[in-house]
Amino acid sequence: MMSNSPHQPILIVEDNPDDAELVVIALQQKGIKIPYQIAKNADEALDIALGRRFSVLEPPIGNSTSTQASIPALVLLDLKLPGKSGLEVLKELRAAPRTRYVPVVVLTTSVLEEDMIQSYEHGANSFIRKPVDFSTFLHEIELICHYWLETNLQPKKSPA
Amino acid sequence: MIGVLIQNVTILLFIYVFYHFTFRLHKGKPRTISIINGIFSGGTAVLAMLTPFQIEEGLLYDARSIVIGIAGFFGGPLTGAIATAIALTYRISRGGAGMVAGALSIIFPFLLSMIAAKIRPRYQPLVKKHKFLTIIGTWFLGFLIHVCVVLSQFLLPDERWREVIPLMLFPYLVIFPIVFSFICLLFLDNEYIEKANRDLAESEARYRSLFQNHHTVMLILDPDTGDILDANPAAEAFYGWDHATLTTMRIQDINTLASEEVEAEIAQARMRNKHIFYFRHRRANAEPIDVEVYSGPISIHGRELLLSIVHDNSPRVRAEKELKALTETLEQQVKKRTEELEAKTRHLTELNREYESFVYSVSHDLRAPLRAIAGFSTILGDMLHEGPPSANGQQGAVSNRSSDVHHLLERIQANAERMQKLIDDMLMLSQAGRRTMNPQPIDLSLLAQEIIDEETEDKKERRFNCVVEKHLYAYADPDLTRILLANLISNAIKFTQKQDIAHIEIGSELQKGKKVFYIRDNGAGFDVEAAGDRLFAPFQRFHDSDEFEGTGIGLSIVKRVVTRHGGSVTIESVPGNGTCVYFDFGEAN
Repeated sequence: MMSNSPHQPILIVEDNPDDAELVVIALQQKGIKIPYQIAKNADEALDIALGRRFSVLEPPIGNSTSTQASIPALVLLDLKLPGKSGLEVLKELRAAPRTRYVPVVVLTTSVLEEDMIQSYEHGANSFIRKPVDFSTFLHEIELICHYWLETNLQPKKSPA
Repeated sequence: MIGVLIQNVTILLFIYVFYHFTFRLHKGKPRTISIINGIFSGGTAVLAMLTPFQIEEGLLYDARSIVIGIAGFFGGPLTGAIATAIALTYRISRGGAGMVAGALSIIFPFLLSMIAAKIRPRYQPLVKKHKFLTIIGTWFLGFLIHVCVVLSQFLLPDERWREVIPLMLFPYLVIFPIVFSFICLLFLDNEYIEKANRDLAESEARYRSLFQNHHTVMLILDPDTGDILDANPAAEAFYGWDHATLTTMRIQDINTLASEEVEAEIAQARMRNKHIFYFRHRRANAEPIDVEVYSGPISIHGRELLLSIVHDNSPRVRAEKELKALTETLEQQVKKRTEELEAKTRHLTELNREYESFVYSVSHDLRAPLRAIAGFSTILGDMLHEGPPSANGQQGAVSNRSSDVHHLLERIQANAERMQKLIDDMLMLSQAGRRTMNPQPIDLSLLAQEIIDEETEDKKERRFNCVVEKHLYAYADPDLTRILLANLISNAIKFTQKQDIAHIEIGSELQKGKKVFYIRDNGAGFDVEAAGDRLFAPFQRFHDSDEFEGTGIGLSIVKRVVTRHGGSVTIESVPGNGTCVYFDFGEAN
């Protein structure tokens, strides 16, 4: 089903543990069996994405036990983070050759148009407002993953 | 005959000289002068009668008609009447054949001259215009008088007129009118000169009086040297020097400008380039005074002088100065008001910005727990309906299920609590901004210790080392100060939770001569630089939420309380190395 490298995880950048958990549950419920990693703040997110820190992948790792830092297949990015903001994470991801083309979906509660404009200006691929209703959220997570992980395939870097 | 003629001419000249003299005295006592003139004229007429022409035996002709005519015409009714009375008395007392005719020769000239004097003013303007009419008029009067004298000879007894009148025709109708006219002209000329002199004196007196009695300060200057030639009493009063002193001074001594400058200004006035000057003059009491000077050349006795009219200009200068000061004050006030307004606008803009960001944050931060509650409850509902969500939970489903349910319920409850806390903090923040202040002296040490005791009571498992400086006094609102300290102390307690021993120190120190309070801890600290202007913004957090719980409103409340007291708050912090918050309560302390 997944054509991506199983080694490439989804990076969830989210400071609120409840929100992170909801994303994980959504991924599970939609049967997306891709490893994921959670970063609670900007520095952690950048360390993982830019390979500055080896991180044990969270389950379901499934067939992979690699501790090799891999480029994320998708970044789900919250804008409001303690300290450095999500927008700055986005800027740095786009500045680094390693993550320049990684799809980044901004997942935020922000209602400011300014945030959306800024996000797209700095190279976000999508801008999604987190809905309060969980079924809607499930549906959106499914669409995002379907589009960015299956349809919009990146060139394969290594044979599967 | 010649001798008699000379005698008569002498008599006439005598009367002229006498009249000339008495005219001078005319002004003083007109009645007395008129009587003297009348007696004198009468006497002269008698004298004339004593030196007659003898035409025939017993017939004496003389210049009495001329004397009486002149007396009546120029001396007026009183003079004329007296002279006539004297002459008549004499003539009648002499008696003789020619008495009646002789008396008429006195009465006619008197009456005619009276009539002429009466109608004279009517022809005055005409005569003034055509000088020759004077000659004609006076000659005509003389002619008329002597026609009457000749006609009165018809009253001589025995028809003697037949011999007498032909003899009289030439002297009386040709010579006497001319002589009369000539004497009249002399008199008129004298009269004219006297009048001119009188007018001149009067006009001089008038102008003298203008200079002397006017209340305006006037000086007459020699434009070549600047010497003060004359000064009026007003000038004496104004400058405080008497006339004698002033007239020894030069205008350069009075003007505060340098001599050369004064001379240049005099030249300006002299050439009529300029006639109003503004100077500062010295006075006897050494007190300078601002003056406005009108100065221009005048000609006196063919000499060009400078008349300067000096006005005290100090009220105007003072008023101008006051006006200028007032304008400046006004300008300053306007400037101040503008600045105040600008500051207010800036403050409002700032408030508005703050408000916008607050509303944004509220919507953001309140939505998060709401979303969690909605999400977890949906999952919980699904789970209870369909079974466990665990993808790999085929075994131990019941225990898994019960622990999952428990976990979800816990999450829901935690988020509901979080929401409660958010709302409470928001209310507190709003209160910190809106409460009416009631500043009073507060013992900060006591208050801080009280709060520390409260906050640490349920944390017996932790070890605290709290040091509060004694006698920290402040002048501030007690309720707001409590809120302020509670936030700072609970922050300190919260961020030191990972230390073996939490050190919290509250004290004061002098910063740039200002008393500043501080609360220092050895807690987690954070990157103040990176926080930037979000440091005191509401809902901003600088730590991961699973490490340290919080709504991110605390520092906003602190900032607001301090700002409302007119004070300021600054934070020093290094990640992993503790935090120190400095604050003061502004000018009142």
